[in-house]
Amino acid sequence: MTAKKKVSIEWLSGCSGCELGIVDLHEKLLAVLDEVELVRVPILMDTKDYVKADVGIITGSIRTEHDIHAAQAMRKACDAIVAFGTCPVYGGPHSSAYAHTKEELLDGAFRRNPSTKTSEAPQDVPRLLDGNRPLDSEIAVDVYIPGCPPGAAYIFDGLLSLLRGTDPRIGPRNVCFNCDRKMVKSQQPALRRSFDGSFDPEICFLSQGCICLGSVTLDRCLAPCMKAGVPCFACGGPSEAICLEPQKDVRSEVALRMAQLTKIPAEAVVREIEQQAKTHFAYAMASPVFRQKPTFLLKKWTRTAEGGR
Amino acid sequence: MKRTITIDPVTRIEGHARVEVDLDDGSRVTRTLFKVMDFRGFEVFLKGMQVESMPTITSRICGT
Repeated sequence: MTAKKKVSIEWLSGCSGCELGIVDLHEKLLAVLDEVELVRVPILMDTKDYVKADVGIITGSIRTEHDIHAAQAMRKACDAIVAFGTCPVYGGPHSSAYAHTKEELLDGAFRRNPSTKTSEAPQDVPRLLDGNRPLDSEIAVDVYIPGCPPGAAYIFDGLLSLLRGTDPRIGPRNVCFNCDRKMVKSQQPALRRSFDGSFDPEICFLSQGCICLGSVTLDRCLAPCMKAGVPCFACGGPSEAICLEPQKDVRSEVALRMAQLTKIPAEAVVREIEQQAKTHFAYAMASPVFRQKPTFLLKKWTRTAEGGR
Repeated sequence: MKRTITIDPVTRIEGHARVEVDLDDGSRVTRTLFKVMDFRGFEVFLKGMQVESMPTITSRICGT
């Protein structure tokens, strides 16, 4: 039997939901543990050093000076680095801070927060960087597994293929692939929010006039939200088409589909997504995938929507 | 002798934290500080988002 591969885990700015995602492997975790030895897992073990490892799994994004230090230390200590979860791949939900300056964030949380007594931001903590960034803005990344958190099936496949040196079976499908709802043509005349009346659980949200981002989101989840009656909010990050094709955008793609399925004009969908850009781009705003698109004006959309703040 | 015990980082918790315990001459604890080392700004950036996104995005404040 070959020696077990050493796996080290580090978290940057995130929520630790990805560590829970690994626990979601349940019994399959035992199969992974047959092949790996965990040498550093902050949520489970007291190892504080960046010990040598074959594989380094990094969750969370680059938000503070400590995150830069930790990412660089992991890169030095590990042969392969896995960006694990939407935070290290695209920035994660706190990417929404893109619409704000660092000082606005600190003001709202510490200096002018009606629910706390503080008047200054803490001083002896790692300095907050100007923006929230994906991991590969700081270090080279070998494997990307987005998802918030990645679904257990994708974690299992991704990790085992990495450990065994085989090709992963993970494909570049979007969330619709695993959604059971049927896309049908409808006479729906206007957009509806997900709390506007009741929705048919068998029919695609887009057909029913509700913005769902499944068709522009990479499937790393097996589409659990739509099964629970919630439209996709793109926590897994953009689909392959959005990533690779500069002229394709979340707005135009969703608008095109809705205009084909319903009586809602495409322009109305584009306008709605721009006005609610903070909601619809929340998980991947920090990513160059969106910022490099020539028509992406997120800061302008957000300021307009918030009354020219 | 007065001294301070520092635990940094605190492990086996969710998130990043440092604990500082000040002791007096008789090794009695005079002050304990629990310092949270990360900050993402949910207090501010959630403003302006659609209300129906709150259950899903606020559950990402802490995923454990």
